[in-house]
Amino acid sequence: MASGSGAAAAAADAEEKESGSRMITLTSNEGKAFVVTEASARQSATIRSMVDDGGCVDKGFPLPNVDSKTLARVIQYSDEHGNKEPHTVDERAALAKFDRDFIAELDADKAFLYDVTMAANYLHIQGLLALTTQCVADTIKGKTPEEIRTAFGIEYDLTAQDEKEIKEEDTHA
Amino acid sequence: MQHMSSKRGKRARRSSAGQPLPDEMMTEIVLRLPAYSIVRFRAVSRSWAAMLSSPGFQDGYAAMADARRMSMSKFVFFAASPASPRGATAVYSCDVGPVRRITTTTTDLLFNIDRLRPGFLVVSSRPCHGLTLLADTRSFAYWVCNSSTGVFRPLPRRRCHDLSSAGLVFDDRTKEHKVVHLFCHVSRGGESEAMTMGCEVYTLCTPSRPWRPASGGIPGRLGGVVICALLYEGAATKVPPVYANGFLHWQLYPDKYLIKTSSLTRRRSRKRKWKRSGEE
Repeated sequence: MASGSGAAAAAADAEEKESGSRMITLTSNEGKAFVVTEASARQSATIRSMVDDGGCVDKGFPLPNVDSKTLARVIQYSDEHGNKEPHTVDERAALAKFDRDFIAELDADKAFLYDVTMAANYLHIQGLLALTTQCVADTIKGKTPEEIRTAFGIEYDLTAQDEKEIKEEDTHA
Repeated sequence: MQHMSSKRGKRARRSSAGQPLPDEMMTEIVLRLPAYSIVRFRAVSRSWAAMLSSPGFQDGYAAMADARRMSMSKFVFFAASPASPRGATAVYSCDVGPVRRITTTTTDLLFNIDRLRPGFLVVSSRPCHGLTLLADTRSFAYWVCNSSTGVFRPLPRRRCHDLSSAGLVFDDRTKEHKVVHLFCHVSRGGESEAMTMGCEVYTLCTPSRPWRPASGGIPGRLGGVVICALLYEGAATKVPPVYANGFLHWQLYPDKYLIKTSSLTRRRSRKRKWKRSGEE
């Protein structure tokens, strides 16, 4: 990953001529450019389909829904998964460890975790989306309905009748 | 691209609703919750109750659970141990994932069984809720292993049997794995031979309970049938009993099956004969 300076762009142009190792520029909503390998960018199904449709590779991809901080973190993930294909048990273990450390760091900052989740969804990076949504699911699975309402800003709108019905169904389950 | 940028930014959307994630993302997350959370979270709000009870969500949840099960299930196989090919058997597990993953080396060595050649080992049951039963067809020793974690446990042995067959079942009510063991023992005293047979159950839990005779035992009229099933398996099919629909099925003849209920929660086992024509 490199920040979009002129030198990086020139290097990207040079590499673009070689088949298979093109560089792709992604631009955050703050206008900051990130140059990544095509293999890394292809982790995103959104970008993959645009690259395969041809066009716009030279111009790069503006990502108006993703800020720089989030994009940098997303690229950290897709670099790790896109640039290396794990073949051995050790390599797979290393990638699994990367995922664990990556999500543990995100988990500490919930707002940022949600940002990365949104970006993974927008860019259709299945692996990252699975990782972040599973992390949120693991966090909330033991919570009470009351805690869920607080955590996600949901208004309580069940009537006493509704609640009674749900309780009854619970005892049958 | 153009219409995306014309949408309100996610931060604006978030602050207006006071909700950190939009609904479609919440669905993604909720699909990954365990079932007990799904049941409880219907009490969050009306919209959650509606979403969690909708047929669309339930289909999605079932599909997700299936995919998870697929990705977690392992295939167990064994071969002569590379360290001592004549003296030990190595048991391996392999992912049953998408085909492309089988081509890469995803095989892990689980454990070695010493003093046993692979020709004598059979996987005595298909995986049953994550566990696999292995049997040594020569000495009738049994092992249970978890093919995902590699944890394995030899089942205690009591005495030498002349005929033996075991199947692994999962008791839905107590959430325990149980091994059901049919055996036959021939005691020779002079000219006469006496056959003793029995059925015993081993419950896999911590701490493990010892083998216990199945309460009720084997009904007298089924004695011959049990011996037939054991003989047929030992001499002809080598096919261990199959666990399906809550029953263990022993093959009797090509077209007959012995079915044993695994209604072990009541600690009583019933047996009945079930005939079926055709082959399986």
